[in-house]
Amino acid sequence: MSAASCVSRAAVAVAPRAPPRASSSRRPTTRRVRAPPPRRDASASATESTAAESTTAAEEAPVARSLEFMVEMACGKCVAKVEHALAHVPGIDAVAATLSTNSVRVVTATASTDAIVAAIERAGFNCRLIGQGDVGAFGEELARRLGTNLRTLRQSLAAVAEFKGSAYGHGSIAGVVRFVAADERNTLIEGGLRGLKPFATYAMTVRAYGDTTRGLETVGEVYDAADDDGDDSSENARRAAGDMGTLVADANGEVTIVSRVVDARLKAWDIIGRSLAVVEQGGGGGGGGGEDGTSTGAAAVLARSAGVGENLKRVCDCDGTVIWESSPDDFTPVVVKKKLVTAVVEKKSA
Amino acid sequence: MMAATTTCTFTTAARHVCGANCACARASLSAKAFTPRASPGRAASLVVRAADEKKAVCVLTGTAGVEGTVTFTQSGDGPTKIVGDISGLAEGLHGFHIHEFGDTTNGCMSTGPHFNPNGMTHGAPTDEIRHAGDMGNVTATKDGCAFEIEDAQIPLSGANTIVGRACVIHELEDDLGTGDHSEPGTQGKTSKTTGNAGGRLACGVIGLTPN
Repeated sequence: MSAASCVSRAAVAVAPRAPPRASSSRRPTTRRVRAPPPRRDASASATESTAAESTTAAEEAPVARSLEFMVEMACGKCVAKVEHALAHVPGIDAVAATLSTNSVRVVTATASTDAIVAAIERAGFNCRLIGQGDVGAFGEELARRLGTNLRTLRQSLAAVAEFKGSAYGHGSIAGVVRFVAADERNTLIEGGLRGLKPFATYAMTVRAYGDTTRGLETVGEVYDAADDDGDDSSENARRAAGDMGTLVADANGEVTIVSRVVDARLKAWDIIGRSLAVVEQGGGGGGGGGEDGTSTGAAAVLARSAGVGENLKRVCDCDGTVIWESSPDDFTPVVVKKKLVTAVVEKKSA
Repeated sequence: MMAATTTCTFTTAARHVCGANCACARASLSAKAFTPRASPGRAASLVVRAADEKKAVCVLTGTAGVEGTVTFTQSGDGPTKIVGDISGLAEGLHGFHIHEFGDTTNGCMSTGPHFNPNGMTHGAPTDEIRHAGDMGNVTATKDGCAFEIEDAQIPLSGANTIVGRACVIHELEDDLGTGDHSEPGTQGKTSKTTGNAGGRLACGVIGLTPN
């Protein structure tokens, strides 16, 4: 292992919550970094000797991730249009569109998923995010070390927490937060939430369990894990791996999480099946409603999500739904809404 | 104790996978040479028990007043026991499946196909040729739908773990791969992939629970 790689790894471990900044150049800024296999037995002294320096240089360059979108393209002209549209989105390193599968793969460190979707939709095409994480960067060796096989590992690179409002016990909170393994070392988070209390501060944590039968009550404590090096000293000992800091809602009760590296101890394959909680600080954390109807907290299971190329399902075989007709609300009760509508109608007629 | 811990870590590590809450995830502090996913020393006393039993739960929420809870329990490498209780279903048989992914951001599409690590076609849980995620049918009566299933193809850790994937309960009876498959890709005639079980009434993500 080279000294340089140790520095990078130490930097992530020491200050994982520091916002990425493009000015630092300790690792390639745009391309995926294939971290060397972690070694638990060596490199401790090298890590320590560079730790002080790493702390100051902790603003990691943004790490690129692979994203895959399904885009309703019908011909070669469409492909060109989509590629042209993406050429105008800043921060995109690579674009590869495939007509036969209606898929567009994008590699980017700084462009947001929303910006990419918006650019494609502006060009006149339906577009959905369908995959995250470059499965080719994860091989048999890691799978073996994790006690799994390659197939399952490649299905373990992306996790998604869906907050879906009251039907799911999430109160007023809705939105999606995604995690993706950019490489063995770096896991990224990106997402957005709404229905929060305006200007309120929420703590975001990965919880030990994915049991949401009684909401925040049953998801357990903040998830914790040791560093790759087993380094449980210093910063890591004081703060659990799943403690992801705070979010502050804007005037509309919304939060946007820009893609960034999370604590090096958090791995997509370790947090799948656990849950992500957002709890208002000083809000009691019971998940109940505030005076203005906004919720003080909610937890959503971290679901296994597809890697790039792992799920090109376009049509649902069971009922013929096409992906463009789908939404995150497909499993949200409509009965409740219907009842409300009926009630309103009755009121009007009365 | 030391010897017991070491043994436990070694044996469970072989099965440990992706986020599974098996013993090595919690208790491998003393064996970091193998796996780094240790939780700092909190649960040393749980080591032995945790190695024996793994648990998961899926809270189903649906589009038509259908909801319920399904729990999964697996002892060692044995079969996984499912205990479910679902309300709001019409009387009769309903297909019950596990899909590859738990992601529902694009509805059914993002959950992928039925969980199928062995590349099989759709079948009955008792068939040799079946998706691992084919749980067959559950029976709803006027009193509700409570069921128990035991299945050897849906472990809660290791390769082929079902943790983080989705459970889906369907509107119609699953024909178990024996029905019409004349128009693959078309609703109602895809027996070999879907069992023609109709629309999806409720769905949930399989999450870890304390052992």
